[in-house]
Amino acid sequence: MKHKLQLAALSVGLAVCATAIPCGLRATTADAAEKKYDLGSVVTLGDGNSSRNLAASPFDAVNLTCLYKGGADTEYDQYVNFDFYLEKTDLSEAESLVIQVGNSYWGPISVNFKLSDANNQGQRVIGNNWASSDDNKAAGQFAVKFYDELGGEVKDTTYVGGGFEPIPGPSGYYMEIPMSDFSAWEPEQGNTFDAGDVRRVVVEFDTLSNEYTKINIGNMYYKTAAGTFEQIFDVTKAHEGQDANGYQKWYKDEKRTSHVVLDVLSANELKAYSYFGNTSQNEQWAGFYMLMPMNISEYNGIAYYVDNTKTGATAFFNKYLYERVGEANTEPWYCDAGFATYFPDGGESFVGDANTIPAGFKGTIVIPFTNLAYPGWGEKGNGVLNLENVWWNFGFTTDTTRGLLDLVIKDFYLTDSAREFVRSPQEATWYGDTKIVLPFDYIDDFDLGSDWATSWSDAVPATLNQETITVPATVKGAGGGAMKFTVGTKGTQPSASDSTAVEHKPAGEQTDLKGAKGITFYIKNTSSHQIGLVIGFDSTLPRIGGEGTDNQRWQTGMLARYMLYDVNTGLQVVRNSKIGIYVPKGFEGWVRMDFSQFENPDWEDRSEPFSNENPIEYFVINVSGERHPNESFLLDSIGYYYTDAEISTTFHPSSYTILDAMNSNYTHPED
Amino acid sequence: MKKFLLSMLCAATAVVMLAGCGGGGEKEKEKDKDFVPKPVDGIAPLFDEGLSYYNVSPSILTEGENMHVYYTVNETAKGKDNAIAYRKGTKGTDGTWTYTEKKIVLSAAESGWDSGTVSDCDVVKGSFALNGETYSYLMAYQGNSEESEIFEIGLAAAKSAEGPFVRVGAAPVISYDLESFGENWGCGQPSLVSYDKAGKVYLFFTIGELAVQTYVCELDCADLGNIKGAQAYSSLTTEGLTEQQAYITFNDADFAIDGGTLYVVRDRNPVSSNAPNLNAAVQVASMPVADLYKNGEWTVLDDVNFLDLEDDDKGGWERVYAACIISDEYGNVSVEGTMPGLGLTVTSWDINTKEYLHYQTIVAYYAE
Repeated sequence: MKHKLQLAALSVGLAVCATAIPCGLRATTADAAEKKYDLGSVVTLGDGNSSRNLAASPFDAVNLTCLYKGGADTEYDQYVNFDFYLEKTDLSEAESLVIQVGNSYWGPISVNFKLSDANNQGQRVIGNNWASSDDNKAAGQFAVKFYDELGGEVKDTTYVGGGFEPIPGPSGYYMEIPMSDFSAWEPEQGNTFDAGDVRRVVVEFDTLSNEYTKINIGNMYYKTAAGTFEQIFDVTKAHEGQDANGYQKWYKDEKRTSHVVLDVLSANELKAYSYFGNTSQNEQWAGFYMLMPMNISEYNGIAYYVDNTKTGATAFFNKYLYERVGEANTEPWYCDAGFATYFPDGGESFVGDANTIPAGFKGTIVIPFTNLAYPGWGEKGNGVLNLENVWWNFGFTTDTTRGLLDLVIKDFYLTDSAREFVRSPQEATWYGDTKIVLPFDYIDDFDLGSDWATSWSDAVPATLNQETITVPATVKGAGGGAMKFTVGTKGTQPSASDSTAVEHKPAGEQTDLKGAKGITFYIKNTSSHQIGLVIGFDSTLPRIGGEGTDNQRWQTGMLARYMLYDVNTGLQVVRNSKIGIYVPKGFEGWVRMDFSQFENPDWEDRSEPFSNENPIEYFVINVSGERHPNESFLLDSIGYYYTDAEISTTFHPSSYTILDAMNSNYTHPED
Repeated sequence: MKKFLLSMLCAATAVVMLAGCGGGGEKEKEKDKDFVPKPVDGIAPLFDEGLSYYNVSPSILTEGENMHVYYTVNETAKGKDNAIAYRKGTKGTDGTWTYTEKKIVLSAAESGWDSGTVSDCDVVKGSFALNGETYSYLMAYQGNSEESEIFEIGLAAAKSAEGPFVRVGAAPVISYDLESFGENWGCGQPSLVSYDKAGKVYLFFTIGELAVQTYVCELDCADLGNIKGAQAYSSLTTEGLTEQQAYITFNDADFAIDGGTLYVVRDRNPVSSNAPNLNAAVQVASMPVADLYKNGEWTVLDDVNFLDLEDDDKGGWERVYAACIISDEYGNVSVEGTMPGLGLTVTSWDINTKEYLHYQTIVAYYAE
């Protein structure tokens, strides 16, 4: 598997719909993409790593999400109670209590249901019977029935065990508990329970055995002897409080830690809530996926509604699907560096990073499928996404190391009117023996960021900004737009890497190295120290023993030689790389490095000699966040050179320096 | 075992010293009441200053019939206060060399960047002007201050080989950029080779920071009040050099030129894992001078270790390092055999004192 920093960069796709969003424009007046296929009815769990993004309830519900196991050996309460307040309710003649209940976990979870009267006494717990569910089943008692619809056929029957009621999962049901199964709770035996004045339904949650689970409580009813249903709790009116349709949470012990989260959500709203700590039980990746058809070729994008008003920060969510390759294989397609159109409620739409939801955003996000790219790991197919043959789930995954999330997501759908963003083209230009293929002529930060992805996943963050650089009049091939690269600081999580990387997927002439001798770039070191860059690229090779292509990484190692020409001071030197190409403090000018000076990293499996006949498909610049925290430099004019220039010194003068070469009349043989 | 010519300095030196004829023997013994001769574990050293003084990092120039030997020594007996000493060797009619008394030609300054120690010098002849005077010998040396252990490189000039050497300016010619490079060893181990037998010289040196490397710059020292070229230093290629470790550490090197060929002698790394933790060999290599700033490659000529320095039943010196090429006064050589002659720092482990510091001495080595 390739180095984890090799992420897919952008696909330079053309619009597949009628219109494209012009490059560089952040706001449009386009309407949200039309809904063509509603995905909102089914949300299911992710790949097992997901611990906190549990399936949405199919009905409006109060969601009770248990994050961590509680108990004596933990910092959390074991028992958490939820009170649901009723109007004064007479259950003395009721046959059964019916609760709309859902279980978003894959297996059964157990809760205890109680009733409490106006005097808050005589709480009745279901089945004051500590026998096991098997024993109760054998005795034919303390059965709880589950229906899809009120009064519908029985879909499932469970039996109380140990005082707790198992709710099958995953599910959304009406649960019927015979009133005859309620009895006095031991400590209160002897107190009089007034069934004619019931004020609360209490749900008791045992977190010891329900870690990482979620149950959904909807409407509540009682069933009369005549078989009718009378609603006693209206979830659409649920609110925090102690009056009718109110709810509150309280802990039996006194630790009172917030390891159980209570939300009120509409049907099919997903609560994406993540928490990352440094305990071994916490998973870094949390995700979920939407079920969809295996042929989605009629559509060109996916959309969903999100409310990120509670996170208090940007929210990171990557997206992915898998293309079927053959009978048993899948090829991943990730939206690692894609973009989306954002349609905020009541606001003007704009184009932004597809995976990073702005803080405070509330509205619809539309992502074109052209933003999905092969991430550089996993089975690689032919490099073309076949929407006619994809796996049945579209995944969403978040990196919890990036911080707590508190999102509500809903209204997932496929669309055929997703709009494509077109970034500023980077035109190749010859300057003597040098072809500049990346002039950094972007309009703004987003335009730049749409073509250069900053590495994620434990890496030191980097900030990229589009800036203007002014160069001496004698300098050709540089100046104007440039990328300001600012290194972040290393994270504190144990898995944190010390590397920062920015990545680019070459296109067109950027991929063509034929006849070139090496790589050149213009750099201005604006930091107060020397700064080191590890430059890497992937050559594209035929796959060994199979169809398709493979890639071979080349990068600067130790003691590779490169030339520096400072355009301000005239300094011309040759240097050996240390851990990267080191650019002196205050340097501004050209760097040239011959392809013969690149080497394969230790993890690279392919060992073919370098050939400039092979195109390149990936470009990365890596800076150590540990050695260069918060340092910055300006990068401009990445290109290839085609002749051997030299440095000129007093003792070894040369008439063919880098500047001479770039001012020469060199003509590429293929031009 | 490679054959070698016994240094003609071997036993003759000892005799001369004992006879007190031109050598430092008797007179030095008079000065050092505690004089204890150094044990000789291989080929004999150029001279013996006894176990109170270490002699390391030679710079040896031959000028006509004379040999100028510069080296680092402790000024105080049994101390560690580095200074630069000089002895003049004279070739006798029988071909043996005799040496004058040790003369300290450069000590730590009273104050400033080299007020701590001075050491590891190299000297070259030319024509250098300073404050209205003309000097014929230029010395590059490393020094550090009393406050800092970070080394930098300075220059000193003299009208004659035996000094006195006058410091050039109050600042190092090659300074260590602490802000840019961070806390580390600094820069030092300079080597000078004349470019034009006048004021232009190559200055080679090592910077010890993130990766230890050897660099070269082209100095115009015709006017020592206005030295040009110190900032434009390039790395030397390491291609072709070999080590006994996975990566090349190019350091502690001396250079000389024979026409269009550049010679180097450098410490071969790593240092020994046993005491004393010093290098056990030096490596000699060559490269066309024209490839100095290209992606060229060295050709290794030989590695010199204790096996090459055995002397009958004396075994060999356990450690060999901090070498120099025995060149003419301009840093040029005329190599007739495999490689040029070398001045080597050698030592062994003193099992009596459990140390090596003042055991260190200088030998000359000529391969056949």
